[in-house]
Amino acid sequence: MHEIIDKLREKNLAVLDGKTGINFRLVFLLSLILLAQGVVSFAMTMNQGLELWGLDNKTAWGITITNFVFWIGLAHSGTLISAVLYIFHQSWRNQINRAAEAMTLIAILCSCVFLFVHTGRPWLSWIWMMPYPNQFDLWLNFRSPLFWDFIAIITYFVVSLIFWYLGMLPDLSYYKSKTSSKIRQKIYAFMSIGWIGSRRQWQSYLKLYGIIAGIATALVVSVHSVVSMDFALTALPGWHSTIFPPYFVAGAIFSGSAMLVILMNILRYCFDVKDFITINHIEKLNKLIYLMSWIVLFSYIIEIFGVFFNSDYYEQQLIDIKLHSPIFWLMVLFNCVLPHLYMSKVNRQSAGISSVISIFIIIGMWLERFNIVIYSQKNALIATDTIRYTPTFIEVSLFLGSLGLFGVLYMSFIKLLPLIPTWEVASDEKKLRNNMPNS
Amino acid sequence: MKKSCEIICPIHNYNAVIEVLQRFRINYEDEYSIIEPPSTTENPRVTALYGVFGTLFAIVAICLSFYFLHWTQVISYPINVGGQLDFDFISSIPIAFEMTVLCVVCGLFLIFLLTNRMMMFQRSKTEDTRTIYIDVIYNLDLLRSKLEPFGVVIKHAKK
Repeated sequence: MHEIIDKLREKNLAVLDGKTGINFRLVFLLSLILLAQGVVSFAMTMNQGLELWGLDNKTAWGITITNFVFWIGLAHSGTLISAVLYIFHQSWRNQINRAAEAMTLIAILCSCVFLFVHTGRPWLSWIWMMPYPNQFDLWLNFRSPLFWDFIAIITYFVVSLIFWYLGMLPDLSYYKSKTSSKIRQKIYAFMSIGWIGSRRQWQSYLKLYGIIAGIATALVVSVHSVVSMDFALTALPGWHSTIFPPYFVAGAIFSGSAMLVILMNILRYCFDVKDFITINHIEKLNKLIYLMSWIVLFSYIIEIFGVFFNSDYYEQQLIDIKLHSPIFWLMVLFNCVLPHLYMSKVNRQSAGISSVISIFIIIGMWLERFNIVIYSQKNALIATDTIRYTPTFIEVSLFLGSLGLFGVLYMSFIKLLPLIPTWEVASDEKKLRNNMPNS
Repeated sequence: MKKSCEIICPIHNYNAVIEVLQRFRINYEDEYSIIEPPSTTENPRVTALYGVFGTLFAIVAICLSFYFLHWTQVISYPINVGGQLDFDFISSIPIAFEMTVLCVVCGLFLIFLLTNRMMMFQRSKTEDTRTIYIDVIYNLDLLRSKLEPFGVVIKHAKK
């Protein structure tokens, strides 16, 4: 048991203090390049305004909101996997929960980029978003789902941050004296505050951790439901649907798990943590992805069935347009057909195949959000209107920039903080617990 | 003050996991930093503490959220459209829910920090037990020699 923990500690310290390998540097460099070109596009948008985007009167939300929903979706899986599996005492989460929660936090930050940039003047966003009366003493519209969304995302970010930080507290206390970097030692000492690992602290700690895990689980469901209400509470055909909240939550878990598989495989190969993040973890995540693909398929069918059941002319017209669109069928192919490869255990246990399938799922889920956001605006109500929305280079560049931002922040997290939770792996050992009498 | 240390359970022939009655603070100096939670983690007082404070925070947050939403839309700037005020109970639920969750989590986190004396302005409390993991061959003399600099007295040991 302690050999495993010693090995884990050594591995964490090797990742923190050791030299970075060529794989890490390549991934970081690629992320940095993507981020740099995204920053240029951001600066151009700020300089010249939203006219650089392909928006028009009908398509007021371009792929910026698609990207926002996409990132929020990715953000949901990390905390969900970590919190739900903790509540159900699934010990296999112990090795991957911190990496998953970090994915959540960073994905929320990436989504916030689009939240602010789409306002056109991000430096004034706080006036428009915060509950603050303007010069006419007029308050924000608290009945607007857009404001609910803002509050929900802030809440989710803060709760996820506390959950993530709380999970790291004992490890920070341990590694502060072990890491060789003086700066890191000071950061860890500051972050571990007054943690001494006493029995009183542990009792309090584990209780609070369980409570926050329960709250975070409920929050995950509520937050993505609120995001879906941005669409569902409007009267626009294609958006005005009661299936949206569960549909969005299922899609979020689906895409988030796929992203997690990609990240776990990158970690396995960049940092050689195959002994801790094993193929067993990848397989379990793949099983979850396969389950969610069925739920997503069910949602697609219900969405189409609901339209034909309620006999709404405009809804039917929109579905007709969608069914003749290649984007819809690509989405079905990536999200509902490809995951069936996971019926085979060989595919589930293959890092390469699961990474490729996950990349296609991520693309498929982005197409799903594109399908939802853009098609309803473009085609609803006046079907003969042939205005065509095409994302401009700047919009695509901003999305690539957000991918770069994600990569840079995630790689920085790996180099700055202990990657694999040590205390949770240690506490998992049943023998240890059973052998220790109550003092 | 009496300082003592009780060896509870050596689990391997080359390792020892001990629980220390901690009357001193050694975590900043020692190299045997704690990493494992103790065997008994349930404490009814802790459960009651979080239960009571969590409920209190939730009630206060719900009341304040609804009052704030009502105040902004009915008292501070009433928008009266067709004889109906803008305030609606149902549409206030999402914001009230999110604010409640936020207050409960932040509040309980603060309670955790305060009750465990982890805030910067709090002095650490030293009378508590802790679990430490010591990587030594099962050798009491060696263990004693390692812990004596911290004023620890080993009083009992069992296999």
